[in-house]
Amino acid sequence: MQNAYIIAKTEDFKPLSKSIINLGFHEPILLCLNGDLGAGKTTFVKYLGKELGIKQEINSPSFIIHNEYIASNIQLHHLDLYRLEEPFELNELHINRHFKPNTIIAIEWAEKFEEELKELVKEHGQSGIKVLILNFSHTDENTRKVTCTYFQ
Amino acid sequence: MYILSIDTSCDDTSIAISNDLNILANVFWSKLKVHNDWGGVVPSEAKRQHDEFLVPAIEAALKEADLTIDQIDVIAVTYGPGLAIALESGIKKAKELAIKNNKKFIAVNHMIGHIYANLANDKNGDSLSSLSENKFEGFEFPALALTISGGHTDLYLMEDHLKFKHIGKTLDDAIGESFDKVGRMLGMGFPAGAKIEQAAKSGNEKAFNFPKPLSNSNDFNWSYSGLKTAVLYEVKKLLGEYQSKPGKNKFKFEDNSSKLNEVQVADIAASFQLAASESLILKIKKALLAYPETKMLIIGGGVIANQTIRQKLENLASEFNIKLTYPKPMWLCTDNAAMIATAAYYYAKQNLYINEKEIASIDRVPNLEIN
Repeated sequence: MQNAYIIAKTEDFKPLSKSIINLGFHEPILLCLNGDLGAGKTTFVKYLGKELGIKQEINSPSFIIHNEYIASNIQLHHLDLYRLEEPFELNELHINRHFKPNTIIAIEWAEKFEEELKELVKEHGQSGIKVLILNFSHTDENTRKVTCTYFQ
Repeated sequence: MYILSIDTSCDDTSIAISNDLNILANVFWSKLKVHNDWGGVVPSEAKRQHDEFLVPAIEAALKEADLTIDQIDVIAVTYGPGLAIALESGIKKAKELAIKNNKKFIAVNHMIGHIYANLANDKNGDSLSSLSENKFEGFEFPALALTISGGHTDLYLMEDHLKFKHIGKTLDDAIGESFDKVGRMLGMGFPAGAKIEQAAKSGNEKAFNFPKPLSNSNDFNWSYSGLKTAVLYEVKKLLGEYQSKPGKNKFKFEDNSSKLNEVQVADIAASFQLAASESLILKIKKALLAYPETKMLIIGGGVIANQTIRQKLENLASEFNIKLTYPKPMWLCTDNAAMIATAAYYYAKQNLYINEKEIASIDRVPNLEIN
């Protein structure tokens, strides 16, 4: 896993997607996707889904909040906390019931609920889940940057 | 036939009771409403956990329809698409009601509900369609059905009742979502659809030349994500830098777009609305040319509240000399259970009941499509 990826076209998400898939699925993978509107969070999840072999069109879950897709034996949960405004709303989603092997949980706007998500990871046991924080930013009108850090 | 329907697809808990196509009761129950009506009697806070709203909502609907549960013939419930945890509450309650009271059971696709909302009547049997004053006699096939909302932008070819071919969809953001997100960039709260429309009235729609993604593609698909990003870059240019930070309430973001002046907000709103509506119309027109037998354009979903879009759809329908229908009352355009009851009536006509032994195994399908 590199520390940063420069994205000029959709295909540039390939190395990042591969690195994530290469982490293996013995433990669930939690992807916290941060970054402003239009920074490429949904586009990345669409790309990752294709790499996982998901046939269905993956689109923005901003309204629906949580969508789920299945490819062979991998489940992709795609969440978006954009519309949530109070901590209890996160609890209502019971995200941790999806902390299972062979599962990727990709959460857009995770930064809004950083502490709450950390708490869920702690409850589950930090060694039993792989957590990656991906920060998306605009560098100019045609390029985006994604930086990756592991959960501390 | 008395139908009791439940919709818990996302934000609202809604229960309706119909007699065939006549809506006798349609109840909405949300956190806000519970607090207003019950002064905090319902204990815990909940927004999308519908369990605690369902019992009082069902009681309220039965009371309004002046019926008892014994008189209900069919239980209908939305099983997708929607938010998994929300759908689960409604399905669980519907199963309980059906099994305990030995009722017939129908599992309805929420998007089919939006389309069939056009066939709902009020309790006196008067049509609630926009065509009600023109001797509306139901759908005329083949028809094109368009669903436009915060979560969906889809186009279907309908050859007959409940016979759909999915011919167009958004590849990223829904049209309603793009209105809400652009609204945020312009310093408007959620939902922003009506505010954008208001601001656009005094704006110059040609002030900015926003893109209409996919307008040259030969399919009937849309993309609204690129339009959203183009607006963001324009806002950035005007402000120097667009910033969005957690505000006093860390779950709500505050941004510096309040520094845009009124003219800038109006011009962006107008130019955005033009691009969003034109790209919508463009693909429907393309579909009408590809399916020249089309007799009717059926619209469902909350975005029909936008007068500019409505007017353009009306113009398009007259240009092709076809009928246009959308649900007249706004509550029938946005998420509601009345449309689920209306769709269920047609499911029932085609005997699409869930076998008694299979009711217990009905599960939610969050990304359910119309096949």
